[in-house]
Amino acid sequence: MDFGWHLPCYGPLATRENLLRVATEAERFGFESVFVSDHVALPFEQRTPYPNRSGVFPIPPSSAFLEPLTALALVAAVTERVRLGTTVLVLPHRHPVVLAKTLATLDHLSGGRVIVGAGVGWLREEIEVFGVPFERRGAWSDEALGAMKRCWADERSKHAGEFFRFDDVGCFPKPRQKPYPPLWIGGAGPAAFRRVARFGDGFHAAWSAPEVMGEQIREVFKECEKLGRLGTDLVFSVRAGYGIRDEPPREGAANLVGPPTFIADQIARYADVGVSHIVLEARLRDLGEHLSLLHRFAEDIRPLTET
Amino acid sequence: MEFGCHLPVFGPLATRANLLAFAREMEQLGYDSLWASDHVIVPYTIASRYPYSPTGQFPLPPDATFLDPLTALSLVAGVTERARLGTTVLVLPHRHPVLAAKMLATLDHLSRGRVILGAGVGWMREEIEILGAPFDERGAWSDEAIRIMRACWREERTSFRGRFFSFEAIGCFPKPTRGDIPIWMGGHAKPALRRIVALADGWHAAFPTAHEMEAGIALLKQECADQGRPFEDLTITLRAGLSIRESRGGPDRRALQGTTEQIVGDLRQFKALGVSHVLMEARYRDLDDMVQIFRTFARDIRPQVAD
Repeated sequence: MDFGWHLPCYGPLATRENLLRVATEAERFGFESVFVSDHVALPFEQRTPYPNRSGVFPIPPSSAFLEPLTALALVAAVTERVRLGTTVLVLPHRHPVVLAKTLATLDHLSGGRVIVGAGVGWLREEIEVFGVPFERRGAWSDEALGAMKRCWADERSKHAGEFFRFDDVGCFPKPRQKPYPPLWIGGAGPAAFRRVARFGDGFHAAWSAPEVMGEQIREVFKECEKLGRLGTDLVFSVRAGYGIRDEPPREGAANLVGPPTFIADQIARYADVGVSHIVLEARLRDLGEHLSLLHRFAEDIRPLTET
Repeated sequence: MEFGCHLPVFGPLATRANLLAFAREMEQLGYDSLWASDHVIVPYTIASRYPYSPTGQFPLPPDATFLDPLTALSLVAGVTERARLGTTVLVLPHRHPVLAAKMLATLDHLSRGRVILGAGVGWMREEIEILGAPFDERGAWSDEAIRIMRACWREERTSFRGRFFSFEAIGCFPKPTRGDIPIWMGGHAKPALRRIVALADGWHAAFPTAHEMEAGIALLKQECADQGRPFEDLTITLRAGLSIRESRGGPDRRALQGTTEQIVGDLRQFKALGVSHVLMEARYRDLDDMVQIFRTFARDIRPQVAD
């Protein structure tokens, strides 16, 4: 199992010192990856329900939320090995040709460490700021992914579709990873599973419990089968809340919050259903607490998962 | 007078190791700023005329590496502490202004207030149209883009209603460290100079002769008088190719290309005109040569024009 650490990219901990410190500590303590999330413009009047139980997005619009690729480029300067991922990049926030260029630059400058977690988004107001038709964001994003691959893989890139069109252009540098960085598709519905089968190198779920993840992985394989793809090369990854508490969690917990033995067992459950990468997201109130959770995972919990 | 260096962001020198080494060394040499340019794609066939060479030919082949400037600057921000980080120039129509504002504010926040936005409206029709902006209206489009970026940086709740963009109140955080980011606009035609006086903090002239600089400043003063803005509000800056030679060139010698005495003379002339920041670009295929010319400048020329 590989482990990623979600960096302090939003809220009061999202500062230069903290970002550099947490990223270097994650690398030093053996994490395989660090991840950041993506919001560019949070509406004050949000009419779209957040896709969790409460429907309420937990971050207020006046909270700092770093642009993820800028944050990862800073981190790339002070790390050498740890992979740099997004959980997830909302495709409609950026024109695919600019996004392809930015990601290729980051991959080039980081020595091939980028993981592109990408989804189609859920927040209508934010997506509409960028002029993308919310109801058609799936089709828009599919076309965007196709266009990005042309920018990354071809000497002379061209694309002709409904939303984008270019003919015979040079997009350089190419990503260091060939033909392009791993594309992990996020989302939870049938369209997302289809998108994984069609475009993905992986499926990156958010906050799925192990048994739900198992179900989702089966759905992804069904979609692969329809396309005649084996899917054995796919990476299954999950982003999970992480914290250490004495009291055991309720049955069917969808996170890694509890005593260390519970966390280790939960990781084993994820491994059993086919997950090979978990991004840990610890609460962001205090840097000391945040780093202590990072250290305790590496020193106390991870060894329990390797026996 | 302040001096900046153009980073190795295109061609074979544009690697992680070179960027980091060059940026660190320039900061140690006491340079005030580090700069990156902006092209997202280069068409294999360019009908547009490049405005900064006598032939009108764009000097880079379409398969040349050209790093995304904000990603490159963010990497550099990770290993520098003092030097300012600028774009020369960011072509406004390449990015949605809310995204550009977010990326720049993030870079400014993570570099503790070091960002300078050198901006232009662009000249390459093919590139701008691929990225979705109307080339023939790029001036009006860019005016709106600047207003939106300022609003994102300065206002608690940002909303906008315009010809090209409209959105309800959104939160754009983090804010820039100093509450705003200086905008230095490029261009030399009348509409560009009018835009500078109406919307920007400075003029960023590209490769001017002293005579062109003098003429431009006279026009800027006239614009300031027409618009009722004190000329002293504006920061006058320029970008020049630096080449230190043994022999004096002919009459068509460019500014900052000649013997030490000639370059000192050029700089004194620019200084007398009110230029306060000079960004220098040295094109070499080898990093050592590129570093060496900036070492020589810092040792032999800068002391003669220091304030």
